[in-house]
Amino acid sequence: MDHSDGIMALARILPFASWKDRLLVRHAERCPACAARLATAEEARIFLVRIPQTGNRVWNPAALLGASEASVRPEPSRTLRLRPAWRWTAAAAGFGLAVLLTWSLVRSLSSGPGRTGFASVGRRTADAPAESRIGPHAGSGDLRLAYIRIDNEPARAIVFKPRDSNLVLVWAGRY
Amino acid sequence: MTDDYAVAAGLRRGGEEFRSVMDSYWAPLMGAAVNILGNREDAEDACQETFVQIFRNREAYDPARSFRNWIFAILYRRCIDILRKKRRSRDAAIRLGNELPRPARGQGQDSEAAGAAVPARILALLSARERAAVALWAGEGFSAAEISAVLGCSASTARVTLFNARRKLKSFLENNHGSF
Repeated sequence: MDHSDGIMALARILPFASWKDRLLVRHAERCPACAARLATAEEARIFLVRIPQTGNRVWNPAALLGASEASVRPEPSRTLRLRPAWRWTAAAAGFGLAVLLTWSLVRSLSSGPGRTGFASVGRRTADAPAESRIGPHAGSGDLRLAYIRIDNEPARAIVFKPRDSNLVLVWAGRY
Repeated sequence: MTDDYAVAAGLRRGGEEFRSVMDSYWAPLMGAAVNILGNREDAEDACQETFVQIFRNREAYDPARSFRNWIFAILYRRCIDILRKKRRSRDAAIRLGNELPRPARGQGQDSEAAGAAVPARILALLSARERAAVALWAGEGFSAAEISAVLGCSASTARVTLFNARRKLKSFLENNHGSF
């Protein structure tokens, strides 16, 4: 057993190609004993099939080119096929992120201090004056939404109370 | 490099010039495909798909890159795709087991025999990547750097792949010297 056996054994166990390349391959290229353990190009050609340049042509270039040139709209490439999928993935990821942010906001607000029994809904402005009145139901600690008006007209109200949270979200909009 | 610029100009012009460029590369591409895939039918498919892809992307070819590396890289990817498809269909066939109709006696045996030509000896010995490395190195005279450009890996990985392939082939030759 010469050092070539050790080199070949090392070639099997070294994990990274760069290590093998530095330690083994370059050594084997210079070391005659190790090079003798590798098939030469001539020996490797024994295993290979050679196709003669003047052999029977099995493809028809004219038909192939004609088919390719005639195709006004080429077959969609892989990237084109992936594009809608990427859009859906990005949209889903954005929606998920928005849900996550909303949920974390709700969580942080619900655990925050300084909650009162009354809250104002909407914002009174010259363009869109809004008013509402909500307050604690007598003795129960529950909130009751009395009314919501926008521009002195009844407004549509959507009340949302997240599970496991004391926070109540109220959306108001015109009918 | 000048040749690659001439080739790029021929590709862009299309028509006969494209065909003459492809004609000159048909035999090396076909040989490499047969050696990677192991049978002529799949190799023809790989070559045709390669030519079609080259034709469709001929405007995108950058003559600063080696044209030979470019087309062999396309061929290699097509071969890998075909091998993956075959592996998937083979796995499906194994899952289906006896539910698949068996071919009639004699059917398929011809193609099996045709496929079991010379490359069958290296099919069993080497992985697809190693077969490609050997075919490019011994068959087409590619250097390790050129092989790495075709295989899409580092030059180190290409050298190690070729090293392993050559070691396996030599070992096979030493153990089966009587049959050669």
